[in-house]
Amino acid sequence: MSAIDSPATRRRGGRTSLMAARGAEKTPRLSTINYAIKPVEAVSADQLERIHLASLAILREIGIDFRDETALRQWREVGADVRGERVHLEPDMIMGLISKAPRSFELRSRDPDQRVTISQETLTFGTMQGAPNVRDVNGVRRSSTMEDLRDVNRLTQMLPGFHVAGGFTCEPTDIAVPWRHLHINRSSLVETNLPYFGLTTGQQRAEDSIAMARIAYGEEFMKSNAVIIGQISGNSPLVWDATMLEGLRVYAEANQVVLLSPFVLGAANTPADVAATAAQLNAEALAGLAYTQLAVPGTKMIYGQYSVSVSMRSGAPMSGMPEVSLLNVLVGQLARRYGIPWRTTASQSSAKTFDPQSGYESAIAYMSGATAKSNLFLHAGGWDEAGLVCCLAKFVADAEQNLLIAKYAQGVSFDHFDDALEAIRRIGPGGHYLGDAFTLKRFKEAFISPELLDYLSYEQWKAKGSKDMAQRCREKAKATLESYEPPQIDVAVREELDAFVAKRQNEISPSLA
Amino acid sequence: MSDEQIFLSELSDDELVQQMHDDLYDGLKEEIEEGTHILLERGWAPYKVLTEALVEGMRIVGEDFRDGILFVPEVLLSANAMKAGMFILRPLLAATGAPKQGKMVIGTVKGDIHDIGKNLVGMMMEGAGFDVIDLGINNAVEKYMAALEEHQPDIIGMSALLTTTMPYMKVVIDTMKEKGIRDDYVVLVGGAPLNEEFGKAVGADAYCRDAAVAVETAKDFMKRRHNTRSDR
Repeated sequence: MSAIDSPATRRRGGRTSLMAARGAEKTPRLSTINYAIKPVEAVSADQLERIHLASLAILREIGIDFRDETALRQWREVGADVRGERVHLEPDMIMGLISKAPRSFELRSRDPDQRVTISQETLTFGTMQGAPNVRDVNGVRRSSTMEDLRDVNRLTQMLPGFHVAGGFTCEPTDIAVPWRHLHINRSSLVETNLPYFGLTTGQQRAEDSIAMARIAYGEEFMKSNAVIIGQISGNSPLVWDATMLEGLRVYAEANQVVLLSPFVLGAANTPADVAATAAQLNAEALAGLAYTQLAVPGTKMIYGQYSVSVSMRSGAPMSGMPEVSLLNVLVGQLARRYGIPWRTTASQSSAKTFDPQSGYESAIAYMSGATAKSNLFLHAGGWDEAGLVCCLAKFVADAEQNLLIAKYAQGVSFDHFDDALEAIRRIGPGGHYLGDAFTLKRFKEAFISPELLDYLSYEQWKAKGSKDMAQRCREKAKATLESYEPPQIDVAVREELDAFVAKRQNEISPSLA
Repeated sequence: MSDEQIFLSELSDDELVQQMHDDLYDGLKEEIEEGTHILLERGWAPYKVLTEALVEGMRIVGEDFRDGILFVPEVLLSANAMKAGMFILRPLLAATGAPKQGKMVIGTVKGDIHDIGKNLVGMMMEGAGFDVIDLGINNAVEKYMAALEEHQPDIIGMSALLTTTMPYMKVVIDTMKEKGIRDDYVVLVGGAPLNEEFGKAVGADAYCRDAAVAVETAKDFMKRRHNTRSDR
């Protein structure tokens, strides 16, 4: 042995201790992931400038619709050229507003130790959103219910690979639409203690979301801390709707985070051209981001985008395509130019089941986001069937992939470089490192060892029941749900949330009961 | 556990053997050497030290490796500690005429230079108390034959990583048959592209999918050999 292995602490207690230690070994929840890789770039600085200038020209010459009276009034007040709903914006005004955005901010959790920084140098994972169906732990596809949403929130809480709960990961279709947002928020707050996505579809739903967050976190706390994100979707081409802008203002005024996502269906609502699609997407994003800073200067915001290309055979959205990967890289380059953290769509697939297509599309989406240095990986949990199904098997597989991507993003460490070089001297030509003291010390941290991907020999795999990835993941999802431990929440807070839901249901429409 | 000092010499025999199982598990070479000496000083027969303290300890290690609890580097450390104990016991075992665990000649076949798996098997076999003669890589049939004659092993182990080199195992076994010595040895084969069918087809006694299986299989064959021998 060498100096690495100090005799004073050699005894580890043999089998009993190791079994107990390995049994209790639990991968800790991801904390802030700091990038240490250099991002790939798809275009030169000159080409990037062409896209940027094209976006500004679109906003000045074509203009963008803000279908919202308040927003139009606010634009007029600062001297923008407003013609009906069409707003024409000068480059200086846009860039001046955008410069007011914070470059870095924190998301807080009910666990005081769990703080996540969002900036251009960090990486954050959130689950999928908006599926009307689930593929459950038995592999059955059906309309999702409140209990399914509670289950995905339970998985989010238990699996270490998520920073942010999706909020409306799947739709509780068994709850009447006017009441639904109340129950979605309640589940985010009760089943998880993570920062989460609230509802943004209209003034009232946004206000209810903020009110419920304040019950759990306290109004005072939320004045200076962000705990909830509002997802504001654009209506491409070149439209921001009243519904979304109302939601945006509610979140911004409450000092919470907004994520502005133009919605790109490449070649359907953008030109059939990657660079021009980026220019349009960027124009939409810039207008939304600038408006956010006009409405509430200093608002914490994330440059969003949802990008897929469209199959000209059927009109269906396609993920994992090379054009989408290139768009990711372009948006990354643009967002860095503006100094604003940006979001990618991490794990998306159009596959109907958790099959090889699902794996390929998702893996490409993951890696394109990571190499482009995206700061929020949204939909990094469960997304199949172009977002129409939340697959619980894929949910747990994605949670594991998040750990792998996090490792990749953190780049190459030189912390042990010299010790490792010494090992090369020790072993020399023709030997092996498996029994070397350095390997023994470092193997667990140096190379990640996933649980759900299978690396058994054929014989071992067969002996363990010849299970494919989907089956292993269904079993993992089931076991995780069985071992679910709810996060701490004060009984009084829980009762207040329940009372709020009951009161608001009654105010909205008591007859739905 | 690690912060309280343990003096092996103050332990009763049973406690000491238990502690040695733990120390083997933790891969502690010096502690195993000390424990081996203490048991011998207390009058234990070398063979009893080997079987009850060392082999039994390594059985636990092997089991937990098979079940995915222990990792390769940890098992190699245990095997290394076991070897240190064996180093003390080997001359005494020879002197007392105690039954042996067995002897194995091992090497990768001609054309194949991939030896990580073979090395792993060799170390695990040594860890289980076997004498291992490692012929290294790229072994022609003549080299295997010479080694069988020189070392008189119980087991011959052949390994290959390439589908292009694995048929050479049949050349070796066929040569053993021609010489009329095939049944004098247990033939174990292994390597990533092999499987049970291939092992049977070339006329091996068993295909071993990994190092832990190789040790189990070897022990199993040795038990049968001892039985047949005592039947004689």
